[in-house]
Amino acid sequence: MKTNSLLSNRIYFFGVFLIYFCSSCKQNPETFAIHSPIYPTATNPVTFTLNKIEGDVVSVKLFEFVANVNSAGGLSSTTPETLLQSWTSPTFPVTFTKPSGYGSNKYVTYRFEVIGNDNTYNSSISFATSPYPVANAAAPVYVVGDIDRVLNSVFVPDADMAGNMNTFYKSVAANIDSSFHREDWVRRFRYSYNFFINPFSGTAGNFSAGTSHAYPSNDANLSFAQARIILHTADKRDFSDGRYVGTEYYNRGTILHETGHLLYGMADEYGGGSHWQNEKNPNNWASLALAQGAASGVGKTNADAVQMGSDSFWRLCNNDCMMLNTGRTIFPYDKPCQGRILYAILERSKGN
Amino acid sequence: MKLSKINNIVLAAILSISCFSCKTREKEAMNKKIEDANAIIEKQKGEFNPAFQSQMKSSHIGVKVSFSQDSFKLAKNEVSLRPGRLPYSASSGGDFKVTYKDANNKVLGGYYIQNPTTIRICEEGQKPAIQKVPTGIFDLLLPPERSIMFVEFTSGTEKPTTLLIPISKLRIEGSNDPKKYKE
Repeated sequence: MKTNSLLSNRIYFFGVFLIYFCSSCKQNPETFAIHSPIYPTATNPVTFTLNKIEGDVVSVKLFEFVANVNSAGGLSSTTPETLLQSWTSPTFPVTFTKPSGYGSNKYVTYRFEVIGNDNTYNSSISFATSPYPVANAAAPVYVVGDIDRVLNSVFVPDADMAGNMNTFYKSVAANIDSSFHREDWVRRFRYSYNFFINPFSGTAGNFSAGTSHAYPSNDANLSFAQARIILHTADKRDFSDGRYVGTEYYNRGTILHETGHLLYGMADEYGGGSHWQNEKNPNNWASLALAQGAASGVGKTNADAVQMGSDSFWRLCNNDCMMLNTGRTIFPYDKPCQGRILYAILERSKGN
Repeated sequence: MKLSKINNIVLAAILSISCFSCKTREKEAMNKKIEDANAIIEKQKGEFNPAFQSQMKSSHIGVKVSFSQDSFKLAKNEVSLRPGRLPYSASSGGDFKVTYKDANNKVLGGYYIQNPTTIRICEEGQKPAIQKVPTGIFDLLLPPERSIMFVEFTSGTEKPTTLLIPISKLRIEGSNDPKKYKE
């Protein structure tokens, strides 16, 4: 009798535990949005896509409003926000195509409203149609916030892409969607980044040939941005001069590594690289003791502290961290880098 | 089946689900941290203003500096006012320290950037990744403060360099409104 009672108590406890456990199984929805083409002409049909990362989505609505943009960037004749499409219990990705183009000199804002797990989330993104009428300005092709409060990246076509601008535009879209939206940590903060396309070309230098970067003619108008990325076709030995970085247009890993330097101030994590210890949320430490002292605070152990080659700096990130790698492949930022990225994004949003 | 066996199975199930639950809770805690951060960002990030170049509600100044074998001088005796807040924060990363000072040598602020006399080749097999460039020109960016008189550069163990900034020789980029200095 006593044993039966004990068993029924345990089964009861197990049942309660299961209910509690399962009640926490529902996840808030996480989605990301993009439009295509990324920089549409006046007549291009535009497709809006919402992808799901995870979570439970009950319904999705897509809204838009459109304004005229003049040569000074002023907006006028802004339409009321209108519903374009709604979905219930959608299968992802959800897409909607605006069959006729938006016309010339337009500034379009679209918003996906996502409902799930008793919460409502909004993703609002704006873009200009091509050509952008503001003289000497980089065209906003995927913007989400005030330039002073989010991180800004400008994609510059190399002169060698002049005859192949469609490839350039497609690769910009792919770099937004397949670099920034694919890395697990960065995409969590995907609405902290503005992306622009520069109307003027530059030329990426080639270290092997001893040439430096040739900046675009509107260079002074781009200094608001943290990152300026020259995408080129030719095979070059690429480098960053601290202001511009050149890369083959398909090197998504390189773009994430370089923007790791430019957007968040992170140092390299390989021997022979560029090292410093940031005052706040560093990803390099100037001694083993400093690295080990920081380890538990960033979800690491003393054993994770590794000297970078023979350089007098140590890291805690693993070998697969993006700050240790470049090229085509996207590697996930490890925890110390994640901390620095979040710190940089929050500081920027505060206006610091 | 004996009751003790059933007991053990129930306990084992609870333990394994507990472990899984711990992972889930850890993930939930992380997701909560991310959601909280995004909520802060969402409140603060404002809206993109396509007229930011001409309206210049915020600005920074740029000075062209040339260098040759670590010797720095102004490439142009003027400063240009440009749209947008200074893109770096004080704690931006880098190994090159820029400090700006007033006429009395009082430090007004500073930041770190990649040493502009170097290039960084982050490509596999390139050792060392940092290469010195013998000559060049770079943009020195500063907040739009009329009181800035001197800028000091410090890199590693090299001797600091000080430049006099021609703050009165202002050229406006993309705007006709010159009243954008902070006094």
